Amino acid sequence: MSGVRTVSSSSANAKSYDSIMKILLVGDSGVGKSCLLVRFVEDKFSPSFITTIGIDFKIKTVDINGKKVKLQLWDTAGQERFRTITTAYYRGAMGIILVYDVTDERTFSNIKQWFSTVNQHANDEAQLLLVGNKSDMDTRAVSTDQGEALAKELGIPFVEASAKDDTNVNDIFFLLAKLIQEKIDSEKLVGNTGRDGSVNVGAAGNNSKSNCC
Amino acid sequence: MTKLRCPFAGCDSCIVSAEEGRKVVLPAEVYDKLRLALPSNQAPRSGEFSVFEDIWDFDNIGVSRQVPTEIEAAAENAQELRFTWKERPYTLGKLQKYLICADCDRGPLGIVCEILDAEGARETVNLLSLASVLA
Repeated sequence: MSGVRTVSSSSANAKSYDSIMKILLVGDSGVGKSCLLVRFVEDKFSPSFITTIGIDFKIKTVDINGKKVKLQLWDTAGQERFRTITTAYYRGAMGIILVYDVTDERTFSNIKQWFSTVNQHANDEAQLLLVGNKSDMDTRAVSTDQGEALAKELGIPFVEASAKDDTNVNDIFFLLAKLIQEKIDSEKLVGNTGRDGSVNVGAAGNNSKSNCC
Repeated sequence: MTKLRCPFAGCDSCIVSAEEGRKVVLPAEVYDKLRLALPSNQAPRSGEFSVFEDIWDFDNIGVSRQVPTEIEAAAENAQELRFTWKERPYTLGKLQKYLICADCDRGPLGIVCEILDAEGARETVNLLSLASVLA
């Protein structure tokens, strides 16, 4: 995988964020993972040569409880067609979005397969989120209740989304980031209590202010 | 601190903080050679770019996949464009990826590119075109 591999420690003294999170989108081909990452085809403005090259990843900054969190969002780039998603893709992922298409029953039944693949390759600590995509379509084949039942069975949160609605898409990334941050904060709390007996809330925080947009 | 924003209608995505110390100036032909987007035909072709060594410096940015050889070949004549950075001479090297707006996908607003110093040592940096964004 090219692009950013690690955060260089040299930038730590002047870093423009409180934390970073690598987030992956997985699911069958055609469920609209790329549409969650790149805007819906109709209002795309990229020149055709950019569309041809495709998007490797995006960085988006969100504010979570006053903390400036940078999300790095990755799509599988169609590798799922060949079942060749490598362990490298999952390495370091703190959040994984399992996507199915509510108009395609097959993509929904394959979620369990994706769930076990993710559990096999990803870090145990990774926060998962089930997303039923294309919820704006009339040709729905999977009900919201079915999605909720599956999420309950897998023990992960669930939302429906439509890539046509940008706000909704950004909400998904925000929700996942918030869940990850809460997990980090609660573990930090437990960890600190365990070590020295005192609770040290916010010890990892620094003075950089969240001032983006 | 001033934020650099996506210049295109209805977007205004916040890309990164503007920092004077990151500024470099490339020859004006860079826009055509690298097929960079400008907000309008009248946009001044100042040749100004901001150099970011770490992609995490950006608040919101989209990064394309590796530029394929055939497109890269078209941009190849952009290599050898000279500029001064940190008071040292550099030339542009291999074009690797394009930078686009993370929210509206318009661009390219910049490039991920190899640069070479006078001794030929290579490093990869992110160059944001200041003429392609709003301050």
